[in-house]
Amino acid sequence: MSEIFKTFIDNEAALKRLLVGYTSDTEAAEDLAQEVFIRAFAAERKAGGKTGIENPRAYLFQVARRLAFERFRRPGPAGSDQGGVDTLLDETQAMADDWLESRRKLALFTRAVASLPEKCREAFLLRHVDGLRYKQIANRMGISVSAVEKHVALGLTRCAEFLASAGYQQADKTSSGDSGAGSISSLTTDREADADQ
Amino acid sequence: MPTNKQDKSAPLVDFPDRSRLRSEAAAWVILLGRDSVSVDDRQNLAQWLAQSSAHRAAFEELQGLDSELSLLRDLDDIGIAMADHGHTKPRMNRRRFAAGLAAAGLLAPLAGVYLTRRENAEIAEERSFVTSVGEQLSAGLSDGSSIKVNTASRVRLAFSDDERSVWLDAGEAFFSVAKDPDRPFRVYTSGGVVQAIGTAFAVRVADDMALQVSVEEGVVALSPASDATDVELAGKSGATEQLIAGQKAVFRNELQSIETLAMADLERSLAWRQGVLAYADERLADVIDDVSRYTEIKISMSGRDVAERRVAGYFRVGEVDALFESLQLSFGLQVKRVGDGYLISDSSDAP
Repeated sequence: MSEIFKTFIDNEAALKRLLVGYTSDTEAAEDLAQEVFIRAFAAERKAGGKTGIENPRAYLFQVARRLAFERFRRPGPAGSDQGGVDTLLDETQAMADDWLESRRKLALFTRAVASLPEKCREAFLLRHVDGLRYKQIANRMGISVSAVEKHVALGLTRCAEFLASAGYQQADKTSSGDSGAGSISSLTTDREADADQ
Repeated sequence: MPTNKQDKSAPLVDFPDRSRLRSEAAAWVILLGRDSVSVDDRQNLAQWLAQSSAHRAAFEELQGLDSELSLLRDLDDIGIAMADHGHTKPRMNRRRFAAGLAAAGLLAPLAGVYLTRRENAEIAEERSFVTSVGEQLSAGLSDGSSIKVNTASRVRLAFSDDERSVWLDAGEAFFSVAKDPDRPFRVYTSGGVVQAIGTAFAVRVADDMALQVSVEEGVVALSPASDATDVELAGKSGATEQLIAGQKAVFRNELQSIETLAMADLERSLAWRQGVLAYADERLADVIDDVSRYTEIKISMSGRDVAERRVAGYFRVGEVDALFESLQLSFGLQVKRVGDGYLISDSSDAP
């Protein structure tokens, strides 16, 4: 498990209390807390792992305060943003929701990744953040390609478990699978029948 | 036809099974991520998938998740932004939080990317995407939509205040369109215009200039190219055809054909988005036609019998070798190098 993730979990309740204090809004505080985690984890990785951030606990609170402060400094109702970048943005509510949704997923994935053993996490991040191929990862980490594949598969499974336990359903996919009588799989039979002839 | 009693109807799966299926499916998804996948592996996967609909569902779930993990790429930019301090400018009015994050460039370097795009968007975002044979690319657009461009394609786009216009000059692209009632999203092609109504769909310009549209989500409206300047007008004159999710149509200034596909079949025809070509019981001639879109290699068939053979399979884009190998091993066909291309023939014809 990543150092910053461990620290985050240990201090999650306190961070949320702090953020609720600033925002008076539990939902916003929850999203902010996840944002704190995403950023701290990204920062830890950029800084080269656990040694990168000297005092993880202080760092988390510092990021949380900064996020909360920025929010506090810019109050006002939705859509009243003025100037600069903001005027260029005319996101609809739907888009804002989509964005938030994908950010929540990113937080979930990041948690899943952060919970992985170190080598596995490294391989998984090289694959999905840096987009490296298995062979490149193997060279970089000095392990075999099959070890890389095992690490990456474990990471994928872990993300699936995190998603499922967070209540993301794959229901519609399942039903499409059921109706998929014509999908690749059933052909195998045809194909083998063909080959047998 | 062999019958398989436990197939197709296997409905509910116990938790331990689900967890086992999930790890097995993960292993398959990882295997498909290799630089090359052997014919044996592919056949084993097909057999694994054939076991039950639960197997297929687990595979689809994990494969979908694998592509969703591209979200993690943001971590790199966020990390840089964090290392670069003092730039974080979140503005979080609860519901606007999301837009705010994206907007205020919570992530300064990301903001770099964003700003460039945004500045363009103010007047008109203009971009173009060109892929060569066998190449694919995907991109996020400034309005929150995304695009996947298939092999040998050319797409241009110009977003203004009142319309998001896209020209598909050649090839194929898949669009996942963000809702914006004030700015319709329209894809112009020589065979007609496709207007998105909050949706995800693929458009392909075939060689005969006919337009093929497959709708994955929502609704799209098709209208003739001649009226392309005013889709609303075309709509009023009744020339517009509506397609809903699961439908696939061929259109050339008027509707040529329309079919409603099972979702699994639709997904298979859109598998190219994951860099995969999947065929189910299709004529070899059609498969070769399709594969040829992704490679410069010329492939021909020795005769009608061969062209009419029904085949099925699962290949990564550009893996022509794997296709040949599988045709030889599983279908008993022969593949020979002839001139600057390859000839597929029936080995029983061979001297």
